[in-house]
Amino acid sequence: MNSRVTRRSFLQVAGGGLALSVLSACAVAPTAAPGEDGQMAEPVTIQLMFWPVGGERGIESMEKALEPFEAANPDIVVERLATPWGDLHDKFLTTSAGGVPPDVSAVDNYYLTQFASRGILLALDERVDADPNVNDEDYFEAAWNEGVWEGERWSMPYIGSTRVMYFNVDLFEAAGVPRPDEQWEAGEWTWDAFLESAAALTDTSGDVMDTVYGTMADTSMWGGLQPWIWGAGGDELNDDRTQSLLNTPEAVAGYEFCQNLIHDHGVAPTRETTQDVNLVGTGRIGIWASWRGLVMAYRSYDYNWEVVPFPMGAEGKLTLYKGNSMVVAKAGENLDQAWQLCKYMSSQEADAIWITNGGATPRRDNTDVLLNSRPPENNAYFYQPLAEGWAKTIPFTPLWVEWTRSLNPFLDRIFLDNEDVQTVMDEAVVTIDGILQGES
Amino acid sequence: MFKLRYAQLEELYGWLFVTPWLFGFLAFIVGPMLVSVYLAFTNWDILTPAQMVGFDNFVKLTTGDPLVGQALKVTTIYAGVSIPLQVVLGLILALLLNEKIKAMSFVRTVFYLPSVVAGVAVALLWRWIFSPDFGLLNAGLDLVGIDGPAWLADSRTALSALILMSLWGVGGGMLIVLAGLQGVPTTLYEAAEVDGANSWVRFWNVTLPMISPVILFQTVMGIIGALQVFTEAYVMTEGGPKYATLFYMLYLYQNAFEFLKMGYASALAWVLFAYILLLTLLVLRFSAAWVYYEGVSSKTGR
Repeated sequence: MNSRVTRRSFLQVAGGGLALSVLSACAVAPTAAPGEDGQMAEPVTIQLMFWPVGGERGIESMEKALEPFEAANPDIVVERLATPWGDLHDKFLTTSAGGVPPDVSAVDNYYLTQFASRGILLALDERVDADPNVNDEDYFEAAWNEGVWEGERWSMPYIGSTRVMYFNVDLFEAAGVPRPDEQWEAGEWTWDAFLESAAALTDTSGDVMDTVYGTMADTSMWGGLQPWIWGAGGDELNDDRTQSLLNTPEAVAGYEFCQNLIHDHGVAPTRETTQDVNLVGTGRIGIWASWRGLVMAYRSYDYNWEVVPFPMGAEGKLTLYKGNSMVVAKAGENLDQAWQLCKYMSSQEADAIWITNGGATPRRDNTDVLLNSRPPENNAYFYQPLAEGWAKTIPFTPLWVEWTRSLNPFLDRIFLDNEDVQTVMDEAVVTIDGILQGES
Repeated sequence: MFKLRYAQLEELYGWLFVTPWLFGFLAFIVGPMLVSVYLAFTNWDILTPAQMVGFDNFVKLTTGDPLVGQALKVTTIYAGVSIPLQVVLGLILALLLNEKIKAMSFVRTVFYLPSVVAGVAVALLWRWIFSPDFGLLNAGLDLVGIDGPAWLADSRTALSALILMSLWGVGGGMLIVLAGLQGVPTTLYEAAEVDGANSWVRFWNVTLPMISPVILFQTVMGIIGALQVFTEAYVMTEGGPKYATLFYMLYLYQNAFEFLKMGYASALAWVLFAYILLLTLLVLRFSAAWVYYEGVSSKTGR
């Protein structure tokens, strides 16, 4: 037999194969159906999109969480869609527009109202009310309420955190400065005390590689500046969220405090240096604000560190809580199974994993898990603001992303160019109000 | 059953093999483009039905949105400075690497290597290089007694920094010019040498005209690429400080996916398309004065 393959015959076969491949790819997959004798149906596949907190560690955490869920729910197969935070919201948006969103997804609360207002999320009130396993008293109020917008519940709380101050214990001890947690317990941890401590730790006299800054200034509205604005007695928006209040004397005082840390007192590096270099990791910062999610990274650092609540400003004890959400896409085909997964992601069992592996602030009924997850020793400071009611949440609106983006050039003028805050914010408010009122 | 002639069969195969591409082109390029024409005349937030608004989006972007002008200005300056720099630097490098010296393949690879690495990784790397206190660039300037600026944090230097960074990919252009240089017939150089031409005259009257099509290609591709720059600004500056690096594509992206104004973003996209087309046509139109094809001047066609 002549087995020689000519170019023509090869191309014919290859072309035919390609055509068959295309046709088979377009074919509709057989759907699952109940067995002939009414036995259990084929498992339903539920897509779960999430961002892995801490990369590989986040994927491991999710696997650890899903294992008991899948064992307890043999009728549900969870398809994992690990997606970087930076891509996840675009992906949720575009897949929703295309009518094929993941059944369940993590959503950062910065985006929650934007999505809820567009009607792509399943309202969860009825399911929450009907489910005996979901009890709002198991959650702290701030975390529970953040999933509500315009009177309806759109999400279940998921890996939220309060904003706390971390401090480098070694630097405090070397400088002979009283520890912030001792000052807090003595009721003396105020903005002035914070500034004094930062000034005492700052050493920029030597080589740049030996530089130590007392603190890092918060310069962004995406989580950082709110505690300072609120702490000074200011607010971002009016009650119906149609007008900016960022040029009030109180809000201006909050901005000025952060601005002065860099430009007047010299106890904080420029914003550029803060963004570029891991000053915390290299032990060059005395005290800084951050979320609990950083705990996992900090545990690998070769110096001792601890946490303390935000210093007390004009408003006394106050900090920020910002959570994230687990949502169910309205366009999903298996809403009951999706709800089961969504609910589980917010359950006590899963929450314990987010606390120990992912750095979340706990549910009300999981504080013991947090207390046993050390370091830091001062773990209670993460949930005390929630338990005692002095953690505030951001007044999100569907226009939140747009108005905070529009504020950026004004913040550049404050923190980079050291311009007068009142002048800058008077101009900024006009821009923000235009956005809030033009489309509200 | 009818039989196909050989030519018909060949044509059939041609269509068969081009079909996957054709399908992709129609479905994923022409289709979305047509849809975006429609969307440009609507107010559409991606998730709820679009509402027709006539020419409102175009009126707004030409008269009511100062950021469009800023974005066009930033993008045009970037293209206007970075493209000539890239072309000239690519040409110089190619001329140097066209010499016959030891380990030339290795040296060429070294110069080409950076252009292989692109995107977010490079952007992050350059953030560190530009860091005012700890960055490599300012450390180098410090050695010669210059107090370097806060490159990306200063609205006066941020765009310059991104232009400087664009030279990272000059190896790609260098490679194309190098290929062009090696295609220049040696007989032309020999003839010029016989006529007593020195190296500068040989470069000006032989090399440059012979590789002018390559330079034209690089210029056109450079314009198309530079006017669509996105990653650098998205990763490194988010358009700041004070909109100094608000590239057009970044502003378009923000409107489309952050502010959910897909209709407006579509209008922005078509304006950019028209702008790129206009600049490309201008370059092609004026290329007749300086581009030669194998001894035939495109100016005279002879």
